[in-house]
Amino acid sequence: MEKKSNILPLSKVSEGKKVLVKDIKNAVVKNNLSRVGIFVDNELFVTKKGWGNSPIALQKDELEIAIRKDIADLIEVEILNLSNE
Amino acid sequence: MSDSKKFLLVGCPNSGKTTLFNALTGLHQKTANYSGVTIEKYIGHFKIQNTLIELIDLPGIYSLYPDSDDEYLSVNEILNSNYDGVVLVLSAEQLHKSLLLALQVVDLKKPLIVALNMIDEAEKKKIEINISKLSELLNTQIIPTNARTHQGINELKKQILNINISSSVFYDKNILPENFNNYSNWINYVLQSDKHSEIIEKDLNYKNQLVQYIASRCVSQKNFIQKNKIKIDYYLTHKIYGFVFLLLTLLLVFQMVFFIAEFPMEWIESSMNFFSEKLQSILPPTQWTDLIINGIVPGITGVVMFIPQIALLFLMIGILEESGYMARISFLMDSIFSRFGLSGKSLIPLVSGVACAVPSILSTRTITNTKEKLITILVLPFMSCSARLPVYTLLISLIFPENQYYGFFNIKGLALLGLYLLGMIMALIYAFLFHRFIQPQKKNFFFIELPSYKIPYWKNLIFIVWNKVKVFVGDAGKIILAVSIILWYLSSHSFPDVEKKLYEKYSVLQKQVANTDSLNVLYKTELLENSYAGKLGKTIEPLIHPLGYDWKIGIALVTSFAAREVFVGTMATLYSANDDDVSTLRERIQSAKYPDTHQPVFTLATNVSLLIYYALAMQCISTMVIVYRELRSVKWVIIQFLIMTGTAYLLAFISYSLI
Repeated sequence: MEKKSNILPLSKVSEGKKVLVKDIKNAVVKNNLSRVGIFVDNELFVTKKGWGNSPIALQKDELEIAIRKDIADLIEVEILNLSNE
Repeated sequence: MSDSKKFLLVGCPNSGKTTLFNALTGLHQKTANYSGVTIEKYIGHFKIQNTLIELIDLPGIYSLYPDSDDEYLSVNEILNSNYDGVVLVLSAEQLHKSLLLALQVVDLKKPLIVALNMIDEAEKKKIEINISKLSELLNTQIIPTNARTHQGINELKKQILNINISSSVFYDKNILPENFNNYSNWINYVLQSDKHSEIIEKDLNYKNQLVQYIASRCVSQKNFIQKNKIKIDYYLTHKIYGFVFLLLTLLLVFQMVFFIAEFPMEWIESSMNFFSEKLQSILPPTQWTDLIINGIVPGITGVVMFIPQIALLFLMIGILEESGYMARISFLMDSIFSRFGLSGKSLIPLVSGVACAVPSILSTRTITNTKEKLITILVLPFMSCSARLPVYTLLISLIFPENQYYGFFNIKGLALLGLYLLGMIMALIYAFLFHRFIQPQKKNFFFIELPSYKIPYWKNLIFIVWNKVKVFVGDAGKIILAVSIILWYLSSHSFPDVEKKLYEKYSVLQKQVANTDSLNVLYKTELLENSYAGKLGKTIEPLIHPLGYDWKIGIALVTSFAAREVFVGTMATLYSANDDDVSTLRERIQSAKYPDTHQPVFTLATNVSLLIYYALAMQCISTMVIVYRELRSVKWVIIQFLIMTGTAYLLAFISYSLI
């Protein structure tokens, strides 16, 4: 049986999931996230989502930010707490 | 002899920077705009020993790599202006977030002192910070502060004169291109070009490792779960409950701006009327008296009248911002508004636009994205403001003279609702079109920081309200006053020989007639008819004839440019009725006929056409002034005027032709 990959765009992750940032596919987005302290290999918590999956609120330490779906599409993440799916 | 020094206050958004600024400078502050733009900088003063300190509160930045216009201006000021030192504000509550900026500022090699602010919030969250270690690593003096209680403020003031340049270096010289011998030159170069994202990425990654290292040495947090915050946040941002709470909040804002502001506004209006009457009884009947009573006093009234609405609107916005709820409103509304090119933060300006567009346009400054702010300003005047209400009331009563009911619903109420909806729908349609056709000068990376909830600090609210009112009176007020004087001149003056003939005619009549009151009303009517504004009304008659309007409506269109409600007053003068007696005016208007055809002027088609015109046309000089003030662009003011008035004209024409 084919093993299901658990790496997916951040926009597709549901609320309450902890994720690991694997890749950010746009240099501008990558640098802007870095400015607020979010880097590849960081763990994030998807706290809430708006209607139509946008915006998506992410928490890292004490910082909570919300980004739009088009930006979340460019961030590849791995879900860490799959057992809760 | 006293000395003076200049310092910049630099920090991340939500680091308590403005509270610290207010604590340091008190009321000794003024607002200024960066040249050519409306991004504000606050300049404050305080004295230490014999030295006068000038402190400039720069817009918040996350790093020295700017993304938005206000960040760009902050970074430019840090790099290129002359000053004696930087007061860097770090949030003790979110030190991780603030450290990147701290390392970059240290690398600029400017005299620096750090205020580790919100120390109380960190304590509440059981965050422990080893300040002496942090001070050692950054090689700079750090003063722990709590700006709300003034903890550490005196110490910060004392130490501000003893600051020095940190010897620490936090950038990797191998990462920067060879020709940049210091970090300051590199950042300056980045400001002028956006083609170095790879080097920026390397620099940010390098600094992130240092941030992690410093944080691991200086910050520790015991297990802490903020249960209440999680619960409150869950409901306030919930897809259903969140909107219910938002609706209640909007209702409160609306009540404050629309109804509560009415009391002081009425008081101001009646006081100014009283003042005007007093002046009239004291001053001799000359041109200058007329200018003061009918030009300057109404102009000042037009400015002062807005103050209660502006103050209350900004008080509410201040509470929403300070509490952290504004960010949640943006989160909730962004999913809907982003489809129309608007920001989640556009909601408050759009809703308050129902009261008045002037303060609402000022409140768009909370929208950081330039394109979204522009679109919000451009479509905001479509929202039916309170000045349209007297016009709506008069015209609806012409269409539906009697109260009719459909179930619980009064037909007049439904018509009024329809007009409000028409404005909202047009605002969304045009927002969508602007979104499609306006190319952003620079693509902003959109994100909202959701700060922790806080009880609003009353002193900050006072500063917010005070500064906004000052900006309005000082900037827009002058222009509104000047324009109302021009409109007074146009509606009270005509060619000298015409004025003279009218005066002679009514002087003779006055001797023959017993009732001079009605004669005065007729004199006023004929004066207005022959004034420059009256001539203008007659000149535009061919243009407005396809909409079903005659020259009298033309005059009202011209004079109501000062404010839409002037339409009713002008109609009252033209139809020789008392301004306050709408029923008399309605009867006179209803019976008005074209002299040649004897057909009624105000038919159903004309009334509907006028209603649509007033709902959609840009008929407010104060709004145009404020739009110019905010966008600093005549081009956008003209585009907005043409689009709104063009749409109004077209739809009024279609409705007149179809009915």
